[in-house]
Amino acid sequence: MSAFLAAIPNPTATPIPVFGSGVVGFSFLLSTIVWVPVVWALVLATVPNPRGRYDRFFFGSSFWVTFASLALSFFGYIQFQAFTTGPQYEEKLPWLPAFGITYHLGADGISMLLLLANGIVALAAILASTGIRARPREYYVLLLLAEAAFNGLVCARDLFMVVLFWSAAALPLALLVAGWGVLPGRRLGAALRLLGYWGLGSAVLLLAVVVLAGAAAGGTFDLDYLGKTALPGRTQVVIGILVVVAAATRLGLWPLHGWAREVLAEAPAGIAILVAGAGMRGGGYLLIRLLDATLHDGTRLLAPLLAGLAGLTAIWCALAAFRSRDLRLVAAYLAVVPGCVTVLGTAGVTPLSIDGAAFSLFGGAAASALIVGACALVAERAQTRDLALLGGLAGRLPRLSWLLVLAGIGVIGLPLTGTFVGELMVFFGAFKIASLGAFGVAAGLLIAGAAVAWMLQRVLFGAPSPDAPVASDTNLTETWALAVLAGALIYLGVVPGGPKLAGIPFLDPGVINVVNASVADIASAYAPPAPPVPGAGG
Amino acid sequence: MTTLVLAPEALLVATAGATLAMSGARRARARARVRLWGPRLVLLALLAAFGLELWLGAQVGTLFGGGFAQDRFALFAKAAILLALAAGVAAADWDLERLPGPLPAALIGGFGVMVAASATDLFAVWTGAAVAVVAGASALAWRPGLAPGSALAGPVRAIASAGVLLMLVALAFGYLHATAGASSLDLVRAALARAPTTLPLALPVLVALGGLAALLVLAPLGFGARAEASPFGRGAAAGVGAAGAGVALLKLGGVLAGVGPAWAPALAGAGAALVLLAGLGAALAPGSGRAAGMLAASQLGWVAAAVATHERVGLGAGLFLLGVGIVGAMALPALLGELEPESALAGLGGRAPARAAALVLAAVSLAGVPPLAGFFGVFLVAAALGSAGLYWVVTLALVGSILAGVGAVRIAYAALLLEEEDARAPARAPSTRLLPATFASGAAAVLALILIGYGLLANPISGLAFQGAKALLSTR
Repeated sequence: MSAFLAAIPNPTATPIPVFGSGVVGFSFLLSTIVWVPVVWALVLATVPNPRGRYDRFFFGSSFWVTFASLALSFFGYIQFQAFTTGPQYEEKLPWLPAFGITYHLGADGISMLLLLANGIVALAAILASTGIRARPREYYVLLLLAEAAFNGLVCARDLFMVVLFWSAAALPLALLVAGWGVLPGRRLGAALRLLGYWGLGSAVLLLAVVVLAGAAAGGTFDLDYLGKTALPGRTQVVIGILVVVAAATRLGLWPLHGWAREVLAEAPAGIAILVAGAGMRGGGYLLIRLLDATLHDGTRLLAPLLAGLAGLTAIWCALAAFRSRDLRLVAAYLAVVPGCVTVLGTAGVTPLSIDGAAFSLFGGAAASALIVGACALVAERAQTRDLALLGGLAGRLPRLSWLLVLAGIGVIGLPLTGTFVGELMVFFGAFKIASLGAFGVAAGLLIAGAAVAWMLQRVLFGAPSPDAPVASDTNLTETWALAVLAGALIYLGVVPGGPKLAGIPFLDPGVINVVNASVADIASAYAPPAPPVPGAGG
Repeated sequence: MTTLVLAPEALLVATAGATLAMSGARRARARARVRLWGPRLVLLALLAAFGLELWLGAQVGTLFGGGFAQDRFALFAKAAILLALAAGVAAADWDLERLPGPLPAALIGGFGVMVAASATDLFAVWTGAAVAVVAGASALAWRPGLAPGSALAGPVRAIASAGVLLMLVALAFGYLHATAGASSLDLVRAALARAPTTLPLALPVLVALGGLAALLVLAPLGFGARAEASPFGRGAAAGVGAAGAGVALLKLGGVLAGVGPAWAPALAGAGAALVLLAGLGAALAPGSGRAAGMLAASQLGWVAAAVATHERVGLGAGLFLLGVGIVGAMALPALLGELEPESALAGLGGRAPARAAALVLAAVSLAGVPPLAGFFGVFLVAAALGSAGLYWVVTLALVGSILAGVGAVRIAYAALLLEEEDARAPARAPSTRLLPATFASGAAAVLALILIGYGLLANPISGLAFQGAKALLSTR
């Protein structure tokens, strides 16, 4: 056995044993987080389920696997070396060496943050799926596969793996929407739209990677190498445009937002939560990782376009939410808005705006997932999604009403929510450089605020319609699904620097601190040149 | 090197001969035994040949005065066709196939691929490819189901169209032979490297490349003939025909590596256009059987484009993709069986989950969706095309792959999620005929593992493909 273990190559590239230092040696933390859901999905796929005998087992085991994955992410997060740059928990093994591809996973502060966010969102998605009665085995298998793809994306340090995980989520999610969508007549169309847009994003990202690797001519797809390669400005712009298009397909930026409207409105609550919370954040992550961190000149040139796109999308989606008469469509449009703040942050190209963009990935994940989840459950519990029939639900659905109010507040980023902190940093960091875009996003948030207020007034406090079906409040599991997201949103808004006992960090190093070192590393390329020292030089 | 290296070829030919004897069973009891054991023994022989190839074929050298070469390219190509044949035999529902039916043709076609893989001169390459293509086309001659009789019109058209393309390739090969003054691949490569790229030289080169690329992509589509063939016959035509044309195309790509890349954009563009058209066909095809053929054609178009990179990484990526492409192209029609309209797939996930899973994995892999084997090949080819500066080719082909993805999702949706009561016309899906498939669950699971493992454990496989490409470009 010892000879066998000795034959396994050491995957840790960083010499510092980070995870479990002094407690437990565990070199494969990220692989475990990424691949355990896949392995469990394959196991579930082979379990026979005569007459639905194991329906609860599929739910329970998927929940515990996701919970364990989240717990591992949390352990990774609290033991993260917050004040060092570069990826940690690295695993690097040759995969296709003849083609310069490595199995390279690693997590910097931004990845760590998103890993945590993905875990929370996936847990909420599973809890919100208790109502799934048809083919639960297939449902949870596909959900676990999508979850693993999202986790893999944020851990990947090789561009081949980035493309692999980026593209791998599309098929399971399309099948989930097609198989379990709410309206039988529209779910297949929604699934094909998802596949079309995300497929386009995958193809464009693959093209960007091919161009980037080809231009760098290093015979490798490793991000660490490609991030340090100086490319001509024109090449950077071409790659940058491709990256923006790929990210736009995920974030639902105008004019590539069609899928978001359909999918978030038609998917079952759990899948809508997963897509809005984890899937859409992938676009923001890609912009930070590939655009801001790798293509500095290209980012500077594309920043106005990016900021304009963010502003336009925010206004467009907010207005569309205002106009919609379908509760789930309102939620779908509102779920796009937090992503615009992230995009604006990446376009700001200042340390503060990029910090805010990274921070808003977490806040946006929780807020978007909460709004689509809450609206999906309201529509389900009230047995209608027509705003003309919904009204006066506050008394009949008290728990759900509170959560819906909190979701609305989270989307527009009012104080004490995680989105507020991110927005504050983004606006302070970006207003000077991308003022037009920032104005657009601010206007979008304002209109979104009005849409939220109108929607809440109509659904919760308006006069009940005599034609409305009977409504009932959420069960405990569904309440927990939304409460997990709401808790994360408020926690992040109240203690973004982590809780302290007598001035000493307690349990949580603080999201800001974890993100900060990585962002400083990225933003150093955008730092203004130092002012000339009087009398120095010749 | 000893002649023992020919053991896999000998075993394949012997198995083909033995399958012909299956038709000699006259009494009912003997026929039942043949039906029970015949396919299993063929599968066993194919796996044995595959094992022998990996074991004995690892040695490098030549036989028959240099007429037969065993190198890494030959090893990879032979192992791939043997694996594809094994996958096809294992995946087919032999309760729905006549015996021996298309089995001998498929095995003889496999032998043709092995000949082409080890050939060291143009005419041996052409002969091997022609045997594979014609045998593949003739495998279309058996009707689906157990009813006696054969459908000759379809396969005759298939053989005729394949024959025309083969003749064009032969003419072009003849011209290359006359230009170089030799038919040995090494000598032709050396002569062409010295010759200036002129129109009279470029035309036959383009005809040869175009003809082989057309055969490669047309094989999964029954060579353009709408033959009402049995599922295994369709798979054999697709897998064996594409393998023969693909091997010849890669060998020709190796020969042309020294020539200026003037012809490269034309072939790459043709490959990309084929991927695009086949992807569109997969997305819009009226039935799952046609969609399956289009999916395979779409992936094999990438192989044609890979040859246009005229360098080692591209040829290695093309070889890698050809390997997975022929496994999928062979297995998918066999797995689909007679379930031609998509509605007929309704409920398959519940009745035969392993078969449904393998069917979905094969379709998805052929569409190049990650993390399955096809994605790895497509990515490697795209990267090689990018390195060669052919970004427009990558763009076109990627659009084709997205469309192919839609076709794969249609099959996956119908097989996994469509309930029998959802289907408007569940006309031909009697569940009792699906269940007793000879190898159903185990074979489907093994196929699924191949399609997953080929990508995830790609290191040794891609390494071997890369060495194969290196062998193509080296002089013996």
